[in-house]
Amino acid sequence: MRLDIDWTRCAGHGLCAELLPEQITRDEWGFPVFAGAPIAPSDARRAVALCPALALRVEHR
Amino acid sequence: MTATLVPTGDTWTIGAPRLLAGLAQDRSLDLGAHLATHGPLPAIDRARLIGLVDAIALAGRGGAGFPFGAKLRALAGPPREVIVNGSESEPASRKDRTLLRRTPHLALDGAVAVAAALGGRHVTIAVHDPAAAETLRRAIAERRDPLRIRVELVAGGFVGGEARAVRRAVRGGPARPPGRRVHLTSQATLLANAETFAQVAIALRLGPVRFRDTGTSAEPGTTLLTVGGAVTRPGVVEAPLGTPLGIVLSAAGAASQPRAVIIGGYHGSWHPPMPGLRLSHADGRLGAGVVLVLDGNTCALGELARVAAWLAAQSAGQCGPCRFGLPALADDVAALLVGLPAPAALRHAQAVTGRGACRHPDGAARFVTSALAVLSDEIERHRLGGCGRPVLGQLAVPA
Amino acid sequence: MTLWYTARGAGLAALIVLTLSTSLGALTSIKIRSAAVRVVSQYTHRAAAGLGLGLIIVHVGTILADPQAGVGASGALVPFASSYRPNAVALGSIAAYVFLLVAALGLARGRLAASAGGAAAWRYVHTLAYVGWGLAMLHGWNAGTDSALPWVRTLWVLCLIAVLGSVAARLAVPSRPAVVAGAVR
Repeated sequence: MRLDIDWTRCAGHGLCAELLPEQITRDEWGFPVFAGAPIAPSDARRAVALCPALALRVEHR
Repeated sequence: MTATLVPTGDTWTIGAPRLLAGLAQDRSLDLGAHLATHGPLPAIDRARLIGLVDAIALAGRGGAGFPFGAKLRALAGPPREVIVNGSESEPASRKDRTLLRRTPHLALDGAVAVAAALGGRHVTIAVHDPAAAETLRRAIAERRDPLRIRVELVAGGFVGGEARAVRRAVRGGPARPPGRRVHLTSQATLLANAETFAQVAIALRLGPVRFRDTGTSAEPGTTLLTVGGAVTRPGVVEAPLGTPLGIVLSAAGAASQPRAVIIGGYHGSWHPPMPGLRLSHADGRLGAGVVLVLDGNTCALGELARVAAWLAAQSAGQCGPCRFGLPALADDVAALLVGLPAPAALRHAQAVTGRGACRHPDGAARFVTSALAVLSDEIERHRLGGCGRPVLGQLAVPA
Repeated sequence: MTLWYTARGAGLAALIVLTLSTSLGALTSIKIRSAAVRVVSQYTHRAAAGLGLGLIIVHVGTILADPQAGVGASGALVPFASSYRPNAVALGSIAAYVFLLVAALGLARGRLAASAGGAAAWRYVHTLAYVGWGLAMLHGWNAGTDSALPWVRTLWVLCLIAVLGSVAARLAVPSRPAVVAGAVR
């Protein structure tokens, strides 16, 4: 399970980075940078629910 | 290996021509000439087609080098549509439009045979070049195929030629890559590069044994290259796989000591001259077969800056990191010209990699990063006041 | 009489929290500098919507339970079937159904975000919340026993200003122009 981003939808609102500062930072334009740290499934779901642009999804693998 | 040059107008070959066989000055092969050159097209069923494609280890010729056999096997049933991607959005590449303009029946044969073997009824050829579209329409009118073939003129732009963008465009959508990854198996269409289908048409006639007469044992057959830049004989070249790059370069009339060689086009990589490098699709380096040469007379950093600016302009603007990152990257390269140091460019190249709906940011970043590695002494020269050479435009940038 | 007071109070309270939710929803598309403020407003938006739905259930439940209300099960659930102010009650029934639909898709938002079609469906249906809010406002004005009271009228007008103001702000300030879906050339 991992957090997957649709870059065509992401507008750099930054709520995901606010919610998960350990795992997600923002680049100089405000777009999320995934640090590579593992994200707990509950956190991933909260980030998906919070994204105003519906750009995030949880990918099951 | 001998470098036998068979001149055919703007195209030439190393070794015996296959795809380019029968071509005379600036004429395209009509159906009669095509059949006289290549012979009739044998029919084949699905199992034998996959066996043949596997036996010749056919790698896709659109740039990714994905095994065509794996693509065929991934289809669950008959494809709703077989799409020939001839849009050739790589700006330095000419090989697909040349193939479709000069010998249109080869790619048509391949697409028709593949569609028939898989039980598909529709073939769509996506092209951006109007002359190729015109030639194809005339060629289709000559043929008697038991399925529908249509030619679709799709929008240009670098990312417009990406496979998923082409799938969208032929369905009437925008020629831009979609944001959500689409899984290969869930697609009811088969899309491959125009040269890939033409290679199938050659293999069907030669059979796996004769097909392996040239090329390497791992990658038999020939491939099309587009050679450009500082060469006296630019054009589309058919060469056996495994041919050393030095033979291609000397046959193209490149200087004996080029400043740099770019392999794989504007999403590819810069290299110091590597005459021993053997042409191969398996390592993914060759991309769609573009080989560009820079000599010592031009300002290589200036050439890089022009292409970097063009790559930034080619962003479809869909994804933030690409939309903002590529202009920043281009500005960084322009800064190198006036003597500022390189780390900013490397940082921005890293910042865009892997962060888009398609691979345009990755390709642009690879292009710049590899160039900076090859041009470290040029960067130093510019830091000390400039290289003193003009930018000759050896790397063509479309208007 | 307790039931009747509860019904009226819950209805008015539902209108207020759903107004809050709708306003915050309209305002989320505006570029707010602080992501922290956005997170809080997003959660408030959702909490207010949930509370509003709960109050609607209390509102409808108490009216159903009150034999003197003159609405009855069919009157509350089936639009225009009420004997008490059928049109005004119908506005409330339809508004409640709209809010339920919006909430149901809101709960499935995470899954809908997985596909482009799902995301588009969520957006269309979520926009219906404005329709639900408008119907609820008309329902309150026309069906409410207390709507003639000056302080209730004042509250009603404040709700109207809140949502119309938020929507006006949303339309006036272009949504974050960072990324547009469109070719550069």
